[in-house]
This record gives sequence, C-alpha cells and structure tokens, in this order.
Amino acid sequence: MCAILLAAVCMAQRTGRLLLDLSPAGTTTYILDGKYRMSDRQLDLMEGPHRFVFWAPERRMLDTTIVVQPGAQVEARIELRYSEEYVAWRKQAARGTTGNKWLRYAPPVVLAGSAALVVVSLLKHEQAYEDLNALEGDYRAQLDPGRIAAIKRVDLPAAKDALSRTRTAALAAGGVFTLATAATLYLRSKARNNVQAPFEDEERVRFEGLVYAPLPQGTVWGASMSIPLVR
Amino acid sequence: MKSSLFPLVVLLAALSACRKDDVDIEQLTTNPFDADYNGAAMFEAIDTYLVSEDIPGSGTLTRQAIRFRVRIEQFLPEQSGRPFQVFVRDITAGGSFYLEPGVLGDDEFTYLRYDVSPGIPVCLELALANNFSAARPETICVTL
Repeated sequence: MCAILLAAVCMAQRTGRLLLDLSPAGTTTYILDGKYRMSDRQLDLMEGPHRFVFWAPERRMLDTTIVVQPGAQVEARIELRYSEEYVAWRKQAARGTTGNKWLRYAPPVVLAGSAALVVVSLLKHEQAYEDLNALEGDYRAQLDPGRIAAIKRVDLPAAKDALSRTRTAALAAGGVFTLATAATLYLRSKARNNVQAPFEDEERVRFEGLVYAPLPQGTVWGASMSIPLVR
Repeated sequence: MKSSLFPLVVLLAALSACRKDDVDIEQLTTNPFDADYNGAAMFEAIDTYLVSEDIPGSGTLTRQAIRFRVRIEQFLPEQSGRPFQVFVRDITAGGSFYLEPGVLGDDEFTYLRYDVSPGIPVCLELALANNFSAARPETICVTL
C-alpha cells in the first residue's frame, strides 16, 4: 500500500510558475501548447516543456518551447521583431509619404511664385503705362522745342517699348500662373488618389490559424481570415 | 469647382489689367512748340512803321519796326502764362535773332531792322522758341 502511494507521489506532475516579460507589452498574445490563446503574463503550468507561439500586430511570430521547472519560478523575456512584410510596407509608406509631400507642397509653392510674378509683372506694366502717360502730359506742357523733339524721338519710343515689354511679361506670367494652377489641381487630385494601402498583417493570419480546439467529437483546427475594412 | 475657377478668374482679371498703348507719336502735333505742330498759324503781323532815334554825334538813326503778335490763345492749357522766346529770321536782309517778351505774358513783339525798304515787302520767318531751339517756322510779310 505504502509502495503504491509512494509511486503515485513520485509519478504525480508538479507545477511551476512562468513569468513572461513581453515586448511589445500591451499587444502581445500567444498560443500555449497549440490550444489556448492567451495574453496572461503569469502562468502556473505543469512541469515540463511547453510550446509557445508569440505574436503581436506587425511583429513576427516566435515559436518556442519553454521548460517549466516544478516548484520554481521561471522568468522569460520575449521580444518580438517587426515582420519583414511590415518593414517593407513601412518603407513603401515612407516613399509614398515623401512623394505625397512633394505633390502636396511643391505645386502651391510654384503657384504662389507664379502669382507673385503676375503681381510684379502687372505692377511694372502699370508703372510703364503711367510713365508713358506722364511723357504724353510732359509733351503737352513742354515749351522747349528741343525737349519736345527728345520726348518724341527718344523718350516716347522707349516708353512704348517698355509698355510692350511689360505687357508681354505680364501675359507670360499669366500663362505660367495658368499652367501652375492646372498642375496644382492635377497633382492635388493625383495626391488625393495616391493613398497608401493599409497594412495587411499576414503573420496574424498565420498566427490565428494555429489554434485547434479539442472537442468531444474530435480535434478541430481553427482558421481565421482578416478582411481590412479600413478602405 | 469653385476653387478651380478662382485662378482662372484671377488670370482673366490680370489679363484685363493689361494696358493698351494708345499714344500715337505721329499724332502728337498739337503743341505749338513742336517742330511738327500742324495747327493754325501762331503769328500774325500787326503793322510796320519807321522808328527814328537821335544819336548824339551821329545824327538820326531810322529803323523799320515790324510788330507782330503771337496767338497765345492757341497755346495748350498747360502752357499758359509761361515764358517763351520768338525766333526771328530776316529773310530779306538776312540775320536771325531771339526776341524776349518785354513783359511776361505779353503776346506782342517788335522787330527792328536797319534796312529800311519802303514799298518793298519784308518777310520774316518766325518761330516759337525756348532755350534757343525753335519750333515750326512761319513766314509773315509786311510792306512799309
């Protein structure tokens, strides 16, 4: 009888405590022994090896085995690395963000510059027009025939040339402004449509497919599917 | 839609602000001091007469005076009341002079010539002037 009891005590499994220090801390979950999806940080488990599959959003799964010592407390520090898919998505997003910045900020800057060019050109044109009119007034008020001849032969042709030049410059600036406006509107609509697709976490799909539930009818493997609804 | 129309409105406003060159140099002929002036005559002869002057030791000096008038009413409004000269070229006797008005605003001038020629027409070429440059010349003729 005593021998039977001793054998029972010797064969009885004992438990040990497992403390998990997980990084990232708030979002890491794990599947214990292929059955239980958990996020507890402290576990009392039967002694012996236990299979853990850790996962957190955007991170790679970590499939490992932790051996629980009977009557002892084991502390495991688990740090999950970013998944390759997420790193690639981030790089693409960064490239897209840089491109979008150019699309967003460059056209308005060009537009503002061309608008300033239009304003400056028109001011110069207006000044040339006033100069021409002032010379015409000077012609009417002048009593010096020599000065009148100079006005007609030199000053007025020069003022007319200046008016013509500034008109051409103003029209050119207006053309640049129109092109810049069209480019701004086009690029803005393009930037609006150029939105980065949300990250599809394939590791999550793999992770969620790992659970099976032992039922009275038999073992059932669980599978899940993620449908991004953000779009 | 509104935001896409705004730049076009600005552009149209800017283009409509372009000024037209409406100064035609060829048409600037209204200033009587312009050599290209094509308005009515600016000078009219008033009369001519003899002026005698006793010069001590030399006797009496007789000259022919020619009075003429500048039609200052044909000056442009901006020119009224401002000083000017008259350029005189004696076509008959030769020689040219610049006459100053005796009083500012005076429109009558008198030219004295030493060659007295009774019964012979004497012609003067007259032009408005300033700073010793002359405008369009006109000719008046008088007979003593």
